[in-house]
Amino acid sequence: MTALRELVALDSIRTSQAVPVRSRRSVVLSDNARLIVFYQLAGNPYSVIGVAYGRPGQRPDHVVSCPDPLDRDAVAARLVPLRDGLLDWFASHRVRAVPSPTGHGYEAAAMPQLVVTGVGAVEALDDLAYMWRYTPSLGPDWERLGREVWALTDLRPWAAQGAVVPLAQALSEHYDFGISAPEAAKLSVGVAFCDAMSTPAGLSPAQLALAEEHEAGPLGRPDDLDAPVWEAALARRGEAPAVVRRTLLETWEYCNRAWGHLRAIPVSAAATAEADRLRTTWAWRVGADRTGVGQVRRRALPALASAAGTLDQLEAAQERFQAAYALEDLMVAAEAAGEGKGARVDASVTVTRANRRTTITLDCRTDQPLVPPEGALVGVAGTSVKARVLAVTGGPGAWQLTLGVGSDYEGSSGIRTAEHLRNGHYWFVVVPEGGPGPLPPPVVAPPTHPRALGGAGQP
Amino acid sequence: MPRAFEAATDARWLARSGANPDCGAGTIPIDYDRLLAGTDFDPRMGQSPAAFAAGRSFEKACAGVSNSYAPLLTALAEKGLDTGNGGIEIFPDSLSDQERAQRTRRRLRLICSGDRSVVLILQAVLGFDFAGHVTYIRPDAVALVPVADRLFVAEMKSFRLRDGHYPAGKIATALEQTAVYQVALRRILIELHLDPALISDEGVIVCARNLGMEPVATRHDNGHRVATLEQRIARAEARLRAAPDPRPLMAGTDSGTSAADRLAAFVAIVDTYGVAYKPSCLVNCGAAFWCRADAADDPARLGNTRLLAPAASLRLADAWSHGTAPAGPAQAQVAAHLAGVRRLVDAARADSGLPVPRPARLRRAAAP
Amino acid sequence: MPNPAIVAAANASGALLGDWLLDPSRGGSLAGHAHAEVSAVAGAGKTHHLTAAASRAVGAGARVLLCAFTNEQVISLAERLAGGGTQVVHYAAQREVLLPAPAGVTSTNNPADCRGARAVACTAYKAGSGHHRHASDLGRFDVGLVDEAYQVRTDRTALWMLGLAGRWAFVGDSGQIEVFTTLPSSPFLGPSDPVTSIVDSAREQGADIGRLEFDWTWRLPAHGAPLLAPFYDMRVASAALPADREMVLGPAQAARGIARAANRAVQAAAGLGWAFLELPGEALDPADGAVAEAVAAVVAGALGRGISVRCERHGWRPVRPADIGVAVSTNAQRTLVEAALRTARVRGARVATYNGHQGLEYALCVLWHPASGLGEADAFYLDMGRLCVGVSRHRHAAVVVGRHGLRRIFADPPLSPEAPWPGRADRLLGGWRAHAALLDHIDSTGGTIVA
Repeated sequence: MTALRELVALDSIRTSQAVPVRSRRSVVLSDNARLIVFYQLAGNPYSVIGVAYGRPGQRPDHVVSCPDPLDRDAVAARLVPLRDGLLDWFASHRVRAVPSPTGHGYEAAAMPQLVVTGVGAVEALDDLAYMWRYTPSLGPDWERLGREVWALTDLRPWAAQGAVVPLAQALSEHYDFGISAPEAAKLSVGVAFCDAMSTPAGLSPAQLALAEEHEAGPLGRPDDLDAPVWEAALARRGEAPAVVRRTLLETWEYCNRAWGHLRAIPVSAAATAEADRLRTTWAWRVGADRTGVGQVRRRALPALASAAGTLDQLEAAQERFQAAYALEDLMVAAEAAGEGKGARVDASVTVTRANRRTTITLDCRTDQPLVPPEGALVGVAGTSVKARVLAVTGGPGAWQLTLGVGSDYEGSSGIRTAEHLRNGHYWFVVVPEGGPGPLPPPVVAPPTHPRALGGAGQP
Repeated sequence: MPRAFEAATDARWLARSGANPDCGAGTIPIDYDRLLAGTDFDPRMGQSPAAFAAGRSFEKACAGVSNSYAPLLTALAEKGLDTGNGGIEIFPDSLSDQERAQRTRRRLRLICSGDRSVVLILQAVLGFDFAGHVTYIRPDAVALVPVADRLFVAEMKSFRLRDGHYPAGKIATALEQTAVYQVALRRILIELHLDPALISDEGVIVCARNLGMEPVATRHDNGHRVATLEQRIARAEARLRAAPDPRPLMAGTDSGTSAADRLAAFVAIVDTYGVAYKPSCLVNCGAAFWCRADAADDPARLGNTRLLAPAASLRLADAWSHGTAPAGPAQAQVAAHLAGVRRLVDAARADSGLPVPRPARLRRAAAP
Repeated sequence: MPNPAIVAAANASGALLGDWLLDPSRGGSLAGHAHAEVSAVAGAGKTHHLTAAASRAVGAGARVLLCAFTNEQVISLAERLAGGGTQVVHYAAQREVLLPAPAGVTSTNNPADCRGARAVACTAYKAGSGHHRHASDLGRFDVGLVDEAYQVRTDRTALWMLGLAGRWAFVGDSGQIEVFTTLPSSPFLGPSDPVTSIVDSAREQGADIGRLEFDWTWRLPAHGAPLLAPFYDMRVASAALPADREMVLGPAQAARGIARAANRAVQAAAGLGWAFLELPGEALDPADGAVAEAVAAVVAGALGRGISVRCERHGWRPVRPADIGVAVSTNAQRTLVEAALRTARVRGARVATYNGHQGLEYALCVLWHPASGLGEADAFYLDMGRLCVGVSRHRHAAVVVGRHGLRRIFADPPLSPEAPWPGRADRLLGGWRAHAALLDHIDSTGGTIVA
């Protein structure tokens, strides 16, 4: 937990309400998103007890209960309308080929967005998609659905990814509830605290206990959901117990409320920028997948060179997003400052011009506990200015920092803007040093890594 | 200890020895789930019949046709653990634990002297002495496999290993239990005057491959886990030996006792041994709900904190963050840090237009 | 004089790399293998042997590429090679070009200068991007050597670099900080995990790599070597005999409070090789101002009283600020220590994170205990590599500083909630055990000084 979150936890405990820790949203939420609520039997990742599907914020289009969750064919038969709805929706996100240096590029006007209860549901959906993809007896439509869902779940390591949104984690990223992280991972609990923001007295212990009892999926409580479903399946009653539908609808309601709470926060420009880039990444993937033309279809195990390239891009995206977000949302900047990776300062600005070179120096004072170290590169929030920390003196509670912008200070930028900065309060956060771009994969595998480009032993 | 509430010191219990060393009540083998059943703090930790059935299905798949265990042996051989030809010994569960434990010891002695007539042992029972509590560990779905000059412990787990996915958390939990068996086996070998190093440091997990039930084995370097588990068990044993005898506190409490009386017995235990709640208790201990309510003002209930923990009280930490001076110089640094972070948060809220939460001061929390 | 048996073994082992470079059918345990791995303990002189081997190869007519992770390491390689009489091209980024270049070194940003050069030294990054963009200028090498190979992650530039030569020798210290990712975890865990060193990923891919071990250390004094055991899968011996090293302290300046305790700690370390300056109180936060002050007090006290050291390489010399290294775990701690040193009016001691000290050496080290301030065992702070770097930088003595509260972390072993990929050791548990062993050692030898 960061120092800021520890502090805000005190506020949420006092108020018994959710307390915002962000003023801008870290993820884009699409108007054309689809919500999937589903439950599975514990220990059986390819089973389906029931599914509800439709648009978040509205009533579900489909609610299906499966009397025999372990029978993959029977489940598939019941879910056909849902599958077709999803396939139509995926298809409506058209992708078109565009020229590119490597020959096969794609672009799309919009990327699909799936919404689920939490990260457990993302993993479970990924498992189901795997099963649909690799069970030929289910037929080509299920295989196609598997590939389309995978193209989205594959994007989950990306920063600010808006491909698959886990609602519980999205809520706890933007709000603090004054409880531990595992407790906050339960969607109904987060929603209860958020709902309580409109009640002066906050959430009562009884209300909290009720929220804790609710299901969120994809696994249900053994006694309440698993046992009755299992029993009915064994007895071959041919019909799922009523608790399945009831549970699906209750969870759906929680999802709707979570969606509402998230939409109420204005989206950050940083997240919008990442969403645009990710849309292109998705388009390339899906374009090749749909047409069979273009980069090699994803295998379960990527070749080393491919994985290495993707890792570089993932890290770069994370750095880029975190820096942009911190410079835009002051709560993020404050969180960084609490860790000594940023500061809120009182600055006096000096502009020096000599030999046709302009240098801007900021002499800063702050009373916070920790500050970035000498030599760090920092961005000034709300501006395009990047400065180098030239000197740090003083101590905890009374620091003086000197920042420099100019051609003498490597990595600094935004001289034009910096020239016009006035004395006053500024927030700044440490930003990554610019680096060279990534290389494409080597043409030939090196002698030390014979299978780096794929080959024997790769599926 | 009344049988009804005695916790089985089985592999799962032993694997968690010393996981929460500050909790006295957690040291004692009491089944808090059952003790608090029906009270306001009933943990309601059920077992999923589906998960249980999945486990059994997988074991059957490992056993293969006519219980030859060919699938399991093939999976092991695929990873370099080739047992060669030899028989399978399955200790029937119609025998008592004691009997099975004796047969297990006999077979272990034979194997350690080079006998390879049996190359797969199933349903072994391992006697284990935990601070004078003698228990029989029944490794469920575990095979003991001699390869070359070592004995390996292989656990069959029904979760899935599919290409590109590695369930690191589930494997860690499985390896914790494997470590218990490794420790127990080594102790038995020592008693038999044999070399405990004959038990391999590796832990082998056998789980289901991709979509079907075909077993696939993974070999893990479990040496650090085994060594640290031994230390944890030793320290837990020492704590238990040093703790007062819980039987007087539990006298008169049996399965017919009312919920109110059982709760009272529990509170007496807490008063005697002390508790130390942390969020992981919610998945590990039946007393978690009671302890969580009791810890309303304790920063530990939020998890691992750096600034709140030294205050030991959420109310106090809140007061410090608002500028109240702490009692001693040792806490001055933390209080200043808290106050500094509050100033940052206040400034960020003001600068970004977020509201200030009300009320301004923490109320006294109600006792459970 | 150093232990003659170890000197002989070191020379013999060290020569094997050169033998293998010249003739793949030679080189002891390297013989017959396509590539070579030299796993060296800290301070084994691997860079010396690496450059000596490279010199021999160049002398025999081979075209040799030398790579390392950082530019400082590359410059060191180039300087040693040139110092041994071999002409070398130092191919570097514009701002890293050496002006003036040392004799025998052509330091350049221009890839064309690599054409026909018999020895080229550059960073792994430069080699990789050079192969991609200027393949005809760089050409092909007969053999490539990578120093600090365990720190080179298997990213695309590394894969390009490895395409420059047909045979590779990887040299490194396997105990130090591993390659890592800034992501919460690698999304590619498994056989194609790029978050591995080029050595490990090469083995994973089935490359035929021979292995040579340098299990001695020239750097650590005799009482320091045994502490390296938990970090390496081999027994480590120090070449220095107890009589080879000596640390003599001037009179302690009159002091009170923490300065007094700091003096006692330096005293203990001078005699025992190790000391732990233990501040009272519970762990508060890793960024602990009082610990920073205590660290500064140790440095100030050591410099204030004057210390002279003797070793078999340098003879007698005084310890100056630049001979003292201060290691911390985070930048926040670094900022606090630098502030405390300013207050104590001490300048010139090198303060850096453990990462930043890799490959460097000091007479005296002051280590901010990585676990001081932790609430519970933490994989980052307790990482084995971090501690290994910490305990292997000094020629004479090391003083560890931390709060009494850190003992709670080592009273009971932690549980490790995630299992590493099969075959890899658990670094949280391994790190914890190594830390516990160190604390135990200092306690049992009387090196713990309670402030």
